[in-house]
Amino acid sequence: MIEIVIDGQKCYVEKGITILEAAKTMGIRIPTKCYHPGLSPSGSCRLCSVEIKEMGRHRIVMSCMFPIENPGLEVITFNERIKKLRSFIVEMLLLRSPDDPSLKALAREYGIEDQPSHNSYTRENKCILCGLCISACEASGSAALSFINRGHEREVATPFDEPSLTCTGCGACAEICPVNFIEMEDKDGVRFIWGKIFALAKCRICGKYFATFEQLAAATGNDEPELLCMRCKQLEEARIIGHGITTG
Amino acid sequence: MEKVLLISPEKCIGCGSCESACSFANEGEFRPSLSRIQVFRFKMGINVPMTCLQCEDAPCASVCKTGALVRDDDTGVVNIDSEKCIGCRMCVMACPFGNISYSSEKKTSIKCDQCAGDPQCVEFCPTGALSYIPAEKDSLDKKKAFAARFATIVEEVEK
Amino acid sequence: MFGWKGKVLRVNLTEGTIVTESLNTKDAKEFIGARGLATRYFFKEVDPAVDPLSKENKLLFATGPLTGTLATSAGRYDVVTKGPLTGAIAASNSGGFWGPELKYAGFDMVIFEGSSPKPVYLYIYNDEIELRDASHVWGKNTHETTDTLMSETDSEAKVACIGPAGENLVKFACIINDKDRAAGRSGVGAVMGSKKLKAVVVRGTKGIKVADKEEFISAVKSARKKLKEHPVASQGLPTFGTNVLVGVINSAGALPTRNFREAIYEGADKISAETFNSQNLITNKACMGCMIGCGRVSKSSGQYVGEGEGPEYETTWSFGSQCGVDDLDAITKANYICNELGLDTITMGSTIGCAMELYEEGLVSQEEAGYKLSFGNAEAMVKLTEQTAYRKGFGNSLAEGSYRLASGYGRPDLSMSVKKQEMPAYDPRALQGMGLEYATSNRGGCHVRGYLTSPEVLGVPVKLDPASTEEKPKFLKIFQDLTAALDSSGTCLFTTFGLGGADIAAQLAAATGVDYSEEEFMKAGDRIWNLERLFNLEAGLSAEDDNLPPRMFEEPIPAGPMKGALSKVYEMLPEYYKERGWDAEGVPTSEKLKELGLD
Repeated sequence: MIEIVIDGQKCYVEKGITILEAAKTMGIRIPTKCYHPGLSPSGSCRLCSVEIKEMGRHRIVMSCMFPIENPGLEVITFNERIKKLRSFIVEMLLLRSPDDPSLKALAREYGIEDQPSHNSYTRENKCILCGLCISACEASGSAALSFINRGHEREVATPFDEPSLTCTGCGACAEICPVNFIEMEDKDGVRFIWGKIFALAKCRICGKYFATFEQLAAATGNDEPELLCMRCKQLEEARIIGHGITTG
Repeated sequence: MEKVLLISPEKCIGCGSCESACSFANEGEFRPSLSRIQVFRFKMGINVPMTCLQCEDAPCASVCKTGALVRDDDTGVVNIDSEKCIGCRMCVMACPFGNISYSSEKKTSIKCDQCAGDPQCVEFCPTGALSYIPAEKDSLDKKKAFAARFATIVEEVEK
Repeated sequence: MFGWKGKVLRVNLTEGTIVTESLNTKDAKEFIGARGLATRYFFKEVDPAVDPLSKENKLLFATGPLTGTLATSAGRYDVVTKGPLTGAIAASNSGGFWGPELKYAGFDMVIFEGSSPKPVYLYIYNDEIELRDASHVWGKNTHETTDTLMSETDSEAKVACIGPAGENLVKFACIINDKDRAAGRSGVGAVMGSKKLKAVVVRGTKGIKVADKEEFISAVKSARKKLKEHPVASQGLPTFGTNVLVGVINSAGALPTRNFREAIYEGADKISAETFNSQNLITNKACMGCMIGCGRVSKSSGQYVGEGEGPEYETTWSFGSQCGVDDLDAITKANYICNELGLDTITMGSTIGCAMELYEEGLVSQEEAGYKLSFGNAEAMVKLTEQTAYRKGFGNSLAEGSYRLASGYGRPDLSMSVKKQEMPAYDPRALQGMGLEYATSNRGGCHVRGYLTSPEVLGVPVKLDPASTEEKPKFLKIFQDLTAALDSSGTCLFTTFGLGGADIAAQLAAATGVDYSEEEFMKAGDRIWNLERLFNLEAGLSAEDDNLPPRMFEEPIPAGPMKGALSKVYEMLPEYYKERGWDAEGVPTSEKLKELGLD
């Protein structure tokens, strides 16, 4: 354990954990948009920026990516400088996704008024380029997503914007997207996502469509898995057990 | 000390107190749809409560890519860290028993964690159909007997 | 909200419209829920003079604030309407899983108005609600209907429906939920049939919150512990179900036999709980959240082969000693038919018993009945039960209940009913308190409005002499108020073997955040009782209807421990009215109504 100071409070933390993690254990909230505890940090949104003082030098770092290695580190999670920086980031994010409730809440917290430019007639809600979907997809083993283009044109896409060969249609990207931007639609036994069409497996008992065949194969390691949804799988297991019971 | 949550379906009267207690302990409300234990009611008064068996070589944990599902070797419980769940639902497909589910509303998989050593389903089971006992040879044998019919399936999965 | 979900669903079957309303929270506090709150809504909206089978009558399905929680045996709901059998307020209570599911879908109550031009069912999936065509299940029995509707909606849906009896407007048709649980009495199923409403199918995935979690769990634990320690709740009822009473009531000389001509039954051993357990019982079964589990999963064999649930004590009696039948397989089979076709077992069995007496008196002929309808003819009893649901042959006469049946032969005195509803399985000449209970029950002959059998026979919570009239009015008022409040909470009457008002009030207060003391809880029961009374008075009933069949006053019990006994209800009524704060005509005084906030 090493001793550091966060917002004036002395504390002992495990060497190597990030400032964000250390702050969390102390109950100090640092806003994040692209951070997810289950994924490696990418530092793309910069919202978690904090100021540190190390060996007499002050600088701004991204708390999600900064591992605490040396004792004596001093962290300031909030001051005017940080506030200004975060306000700017929130404003930029709002420009991309003006109707997102969590961003609107952050805007209120940072005293950003809903500016006319955000309210223009054409306003649409776009991807905030946090990259969580890319990381989630990578973690799942598919790695079907990446950023393409630069600057204004930057966006998340499948390779060559074509239906991905590796995507299993699991939908983790859509689940993890903080602004609900990714479109996934299940309809009539078919799933549409990232321009790809997946046939959905139909539960042989209840008849509900419950997963893509690709996802089932990946999870079970079996190319011809039992076509049972979670609930009916459990029901079948219960039935087997129940079969052996004689009551009375 | 490792303990076993033992299910004796022949004692179950199907009241579902376990589901109520589970959802209350884990969700703060009475909501059987989010209970980690589910009672299946069949004809002739046969009822079977189903919950995670805390497999030693848990398929849910082995497919989990973010470390959200990890088996604690001391307690034998496969714990879920909901913050780490990314919603890929691989665990749901991987569990051969259907004992882990995904909640779109809560954006995480949900499963039994034995209430960190004080399972509320056992506390409120009126008939002793659920019990929580030290993992000694006897109780382990009983648990194995309960799961005996699964054995073949598990082996197939492990192959 | 806490406990309550705060939402009421209003369905107009004539127009096919569905509206969600906020719950009236003031009424909810004062009338709790289920029986009480639905009666409040019903009385506000419906003219008590309404014809029960007209489209102007309404049908309310209501849960209590504890329904669907972990509170003691909180799986219940009530159906409130004006009963076609009685012409009085009907509040039929049922357990199982349907009531809790309605709460999980987000509703405290469903109000049905008007009448559909064609058979329909209501499907509720949380906030998605629709009326659907039910022509394909019209005519089907309750089990087929339940299976069909579950398979076309959701495999985890819960179904409350009517069988052919309700469709055919049998005056004592019931509503069956979860296949074998019944909102049984007063003909609520016929009201449903008159509205062409075949079923209410519910699936809910939401939750119920309580106001004070810690306080609630501690109140629940303490109440559960008491039940666990009580021999009736933890051993008697799970092991023997209510059938345990066959032996007990027969020994007390209070088991009505052959249409109440006698009060001990020579065949009691053959229909006892012990016999049932050895030849019919498969296992016991619980309603939602119940630790008692009095339900009987059973089978019948021989010529009456079948599988299903029941009978419980009242049914064992109505098809047993009331008809002079000692064949448990026949009794059990008759119960299955009632469940499947949607008939109230108490009224069905008692009406057949009445018909048997009419036959033996030479008023009903073999040609008319289709059978030699002497007491003890089990085969005729089983076949007539089925015929009644379809109104076939003599079944069409039986479908009107015993009062209208006997009146048709000029002998209304042979109907063992109060307010045209058949009395259950305790002879009111032997148990004076139960006699007063039958006479004053707001829904007519009924044992579960103020179960004085408990003190009079079982000695719970204290032993009262069954032959004495002393203290009975006072006790009955307390029992009736407690039961009204308890029914309204959404918990089961059977918990009162081990629990008192304070135990229920504590759970209710912690769940709702409303400060229900035991006193307030009992007062709510009093309020509900008076409201039901006011409805009945406006519906045209009067003190004259607080009565028993003449046999109870004129024909002494011929044999057994209570030999010679007659009912002394008339001696107790004035004191009962006084206890209730009613005038000599049985009308609540203005002071009483003011005290209860009913003015």
